[in-house]
Amino acid sequence: MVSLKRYLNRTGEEVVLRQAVSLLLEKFASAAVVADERDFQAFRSDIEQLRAHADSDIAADGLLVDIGSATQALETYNRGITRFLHRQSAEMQSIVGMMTETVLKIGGEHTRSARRLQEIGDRMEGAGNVKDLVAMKSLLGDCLSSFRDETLRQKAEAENLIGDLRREIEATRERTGADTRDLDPATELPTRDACLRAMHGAVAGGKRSYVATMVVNRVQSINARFGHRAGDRVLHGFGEFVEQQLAPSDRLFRWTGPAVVALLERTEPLEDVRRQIRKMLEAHLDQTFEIEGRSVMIPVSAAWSVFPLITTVSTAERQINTFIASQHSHDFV
Amino acid sequence: MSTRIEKLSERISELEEENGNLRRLDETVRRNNALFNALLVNCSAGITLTGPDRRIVRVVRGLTGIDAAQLAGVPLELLVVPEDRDLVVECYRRLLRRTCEKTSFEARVPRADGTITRFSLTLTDMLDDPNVQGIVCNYVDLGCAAV
Repeated sequence: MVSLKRYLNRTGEEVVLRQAVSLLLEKFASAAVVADERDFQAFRSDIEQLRAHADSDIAADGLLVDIGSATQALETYNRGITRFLHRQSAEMQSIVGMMTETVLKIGGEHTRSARRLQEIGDRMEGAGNVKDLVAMKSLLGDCLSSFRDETLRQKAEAENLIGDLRREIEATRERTGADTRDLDPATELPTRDACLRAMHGAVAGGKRSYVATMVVNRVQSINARFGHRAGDRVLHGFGEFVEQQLAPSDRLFRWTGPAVVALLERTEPLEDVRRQIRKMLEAHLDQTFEIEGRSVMIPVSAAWSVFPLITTVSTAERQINTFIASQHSHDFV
Repeated sequence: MSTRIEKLSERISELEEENGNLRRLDETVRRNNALFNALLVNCSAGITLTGPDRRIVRVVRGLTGIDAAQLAGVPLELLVVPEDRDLVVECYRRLLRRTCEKTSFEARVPRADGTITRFSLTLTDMLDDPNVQGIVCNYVDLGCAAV
């Protein structure tokens, strides 16, 4: 309801002044920038109170006090907005910084995206208002989209590369006769089948080769006392040791049970090869196990035999098995 | 050619000597085994070899009448009455913690015929002996026991 009382004793200039003040305060409230919704509502509420006060029956000098208070409230509110915008800008800058760093780390192909992100980061430092930030957000979206496309492209490329590598590995495997799918789980050595393939390859290749059969002693006894896991560890350790000692052209295989077979490509006479194997297996291969807090040292040794691969593979296979069988009776529990 | 034949003859002589040594060694082992078995026949105590996890590796001489071949892999505590099993486990723990090298205890053991007898058992830690690498359980029968 409009009160007429306050207009009765007032001059025309005073009435115009009151209307101007009311209009000004209304504009203060409606034209303020909305950054934080809670701050904005608090500011509007303050201005509405001042406007109500100005509309009430107060003296002209009281109006000046209301205008002063409103201006102060506006200044405070604007400072809050500036702080809020700076905070948001800093946050976005740090996000852009992190993304740039990540993109650069991922790889050289993303340098274009990284450069764009850096540009956005630089422009963000100069951003002064919400509109600028909105524009930056849109640029960032574009950049992320191209980054995503680039990543998908790289993923497809990597898949192709993996496929090529797999085919290459298969081809190498066929060439060398080794098949990593045939690895023995306990020793991580190629199995007997891989050994037979390699022996066929060596016979066909016509190169001078020797077969060394090594039977780890007391594996059955170790299995019975300390469990099969301990026996497997002994075999694994033995295989690892022998592999380290052999020449790069030699190959080691898990034959069966406690036996491993090495295929040695050598030009030396048999006696020399025997001497090398004897020397290699003279080393102390003891292994220590922790069993329920108690450490137990297990001495590891092996019986061995070396013969030249000059006959057929089936004869060599028979010779290996005969030697292993002759050692079996020594491994009593 | 003649050098090769000479080398071959030399090698054959070496192998014959090696073979002769092995035969002598085999004979010694056989005799020692026979002696060991003969000594055991006249011994009233039982001997069982176990791993550190208490599983039976070999019954050298049994006293319960249970087939020794069936006991390989069976935890030793399962051969005593349930009330005495914790005692067996605790004795093994003491040995493995190295609080002692040898420990003795008494336990009630069911025999193959169903009767329960009291055994005096001694456990000896021989894990560090490369010829044994186990815990040796020696036991003597103390006679029938009330459960």
